[in-house]
Amino acid sequence: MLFNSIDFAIFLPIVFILYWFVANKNLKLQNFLIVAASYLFYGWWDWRFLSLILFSTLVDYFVGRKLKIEDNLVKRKILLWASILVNLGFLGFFKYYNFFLDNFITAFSFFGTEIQATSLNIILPVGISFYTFQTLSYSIDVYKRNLEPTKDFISFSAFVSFFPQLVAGPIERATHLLPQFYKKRHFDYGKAVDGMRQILWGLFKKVVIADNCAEYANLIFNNSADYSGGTLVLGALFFTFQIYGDFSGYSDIAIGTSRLFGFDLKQNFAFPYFSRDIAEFWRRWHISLSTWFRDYLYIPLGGSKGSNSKRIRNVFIIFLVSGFWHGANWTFIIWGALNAIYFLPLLLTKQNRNHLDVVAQGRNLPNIKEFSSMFLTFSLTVFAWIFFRAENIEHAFNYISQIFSKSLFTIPEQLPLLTIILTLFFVLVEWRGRDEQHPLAKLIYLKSYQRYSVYLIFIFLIFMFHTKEQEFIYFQF
Amino acid sequence: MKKFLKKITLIVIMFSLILATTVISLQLIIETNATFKFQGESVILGHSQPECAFNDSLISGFKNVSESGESYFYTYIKCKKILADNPQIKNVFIQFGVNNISKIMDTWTWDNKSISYRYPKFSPFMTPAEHKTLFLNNPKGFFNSLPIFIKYQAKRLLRTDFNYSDILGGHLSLATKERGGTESNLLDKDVPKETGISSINILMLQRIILLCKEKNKNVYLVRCPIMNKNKLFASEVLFEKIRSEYFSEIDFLDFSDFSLDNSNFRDPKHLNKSGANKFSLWFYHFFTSNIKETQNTL
Repeated sequence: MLFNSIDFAIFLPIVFILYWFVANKNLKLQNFLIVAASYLFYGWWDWRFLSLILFSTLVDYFVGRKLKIEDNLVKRKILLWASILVNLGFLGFFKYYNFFLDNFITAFSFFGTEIQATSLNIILPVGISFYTFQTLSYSIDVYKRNLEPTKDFISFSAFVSFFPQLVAGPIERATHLLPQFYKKRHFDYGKAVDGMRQILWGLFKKVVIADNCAEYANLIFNNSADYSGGTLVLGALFFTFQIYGDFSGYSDIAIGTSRLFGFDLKQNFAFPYFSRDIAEFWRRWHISLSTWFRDYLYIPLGGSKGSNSKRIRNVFIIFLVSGFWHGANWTFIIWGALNAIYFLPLLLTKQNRNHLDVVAQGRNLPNIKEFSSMFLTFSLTVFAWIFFRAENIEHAFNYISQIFSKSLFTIPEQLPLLTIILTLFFVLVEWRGRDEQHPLAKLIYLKSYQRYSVYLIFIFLIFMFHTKEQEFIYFQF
Repeated sequence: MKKFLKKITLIVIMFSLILATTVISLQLIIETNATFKFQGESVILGHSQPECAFNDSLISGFKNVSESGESYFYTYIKCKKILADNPQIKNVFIQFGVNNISKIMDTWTWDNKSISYRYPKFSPFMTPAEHKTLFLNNPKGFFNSLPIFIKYQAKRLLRTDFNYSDILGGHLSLATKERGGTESNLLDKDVPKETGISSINILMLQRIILLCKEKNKNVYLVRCPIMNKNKLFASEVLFEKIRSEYFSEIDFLDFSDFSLDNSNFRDPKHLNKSGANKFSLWFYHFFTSNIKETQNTL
């Protein structure tokens, strides 16, 4: 079920009413309702893959229970690896099987050996990369004894399948989300209203910004050979806002929806395009995945400690894995490598923690230094997104070489004014609200009639641009 | 909780009111001002087969208002407006072939693609019952086509463009052969399947005929030339049954076996430019020497 669908607009109020009016007095019933609603939500897309979620849930639940009573280090390690292998095994099969097979065939044929193998027609289960990482965090934290394994299977199932963030995150840590299922939730008016505002903002980002930009980004990327350098730059910019609006919009709707049910999810995007360097960008972009890799991969590898070569290795590993997480395509790996290259100079010169605050805090506009560093970081990000969006590496290089041609300074053939105006408006609103979790949180400072006018304008815009139910990009990851 | 629900309800009501006001105002303004005037005493209505077959520039006094993928539901709405705004019309020709009775016409009426393309254009000219039919059969598609309707009609309103004859359709000249006009190139989709009949399409055709009769127009059912009659006429028996049961009193001009070699077809169901020109010139003579003459005699 898509957040931007009529199905969800019907589903959400029904679950909300059942949750607060029917199941309110019984915590177990509330959790069970969440599991049932989550399975329905996921099964709406393809019920066959519910078995994968159920299997992952069962494996990690029993691994957790066993880890609780097992003190033998070797046996504990075996249990942890069982969980990792099952979870990554599913992910590897569904997401990477064809990629590895094709690359093996290519590699062998390069050395003169022809291998006959057929790719499988595998459908990627929506959200597998997200819930796999979420359940893995449980097993790892229990193994490290950072978290008490749960006895409550329903709560654990609810944690794994929690519908607002099941298919595209934020990837929640068991230490943060699971305990929330143990406690009685009370309806909090302020939290629910803010949740609704965040949902509204998320829908605006997805329906009005991302889907509009997608139309032109797709047109330009799919026919890049026919366009001038100026148009290709515009295409890359459209994709930059498409992916941000799409993914952060999903996160906003997920966080807002969770708040309606009394849950707090962690912020997943913190206005990343206002970052002053790449290190700051990665502290603000897909925070739940970046911190997952930091805690479960980067730090165990040694992090930023040790010799320079080790630090460089660790940075490359984390960025390459992050790229590969996005999909089985070399373009994602190059995108990861490019970000590693951007990041390394900051790490090696110890400049990677320079910007921990909000840019131009307390001021309306950035100063020239802030503006130029934001512009540079944004440009580097846009450049990297070309690899992320391209069909293959050749397409990406052709796209880039065409940008840096004589036609770079010509007037773009595609100049959709309405989309450009909406995007500029979006950037302006984001800038004004950059010190909040989402810009509409600022609405509390307005008078009631002004707030209602803003709500209605946003709802009307969403309605007017909602002509097709477009999938979210990150569903494919 | 009560306060929260109250506020959400208030916002939903406010938005619904704004939406309803916008939609109803647009419907009324367009309905009042739109015109469908054109020249010609005869019209041909239907889907892509007459759209491609009748080159109205070669048939004097004839207007082709057919459009690809159009079911009788929309043809009826169109017909109401055309007859109201064009009292000079004497003859109404309506495409009637095997696929016009087939179940697929239901999807041509209210599947997402049809509803999002046709509803925004024809909505102001629909009765509440017609809106209801679309809504009940595809509420999601109906809801999703509302913003397209607002955008489309608001744009026309801003341009004060009330000449709606451009939404009626017209002759489509197919210059090339898509798959080549050979029998071996017939695809499965070219052969009508026994999928049942479309009750709504038959009902709407009856309404079109009734409307024409009420306005004293001559009505003719027409079947356009098609290739490979045997294969395409898998549902011929059913078709004949429906025709004799519901439309036996209406003149049926069956050109399905019109003599044209395969090079005149773009695909088995559609004439290309050369085929359309040959057929249209022939039809012009047929029309003037048979139909018009008979009418004059009467």
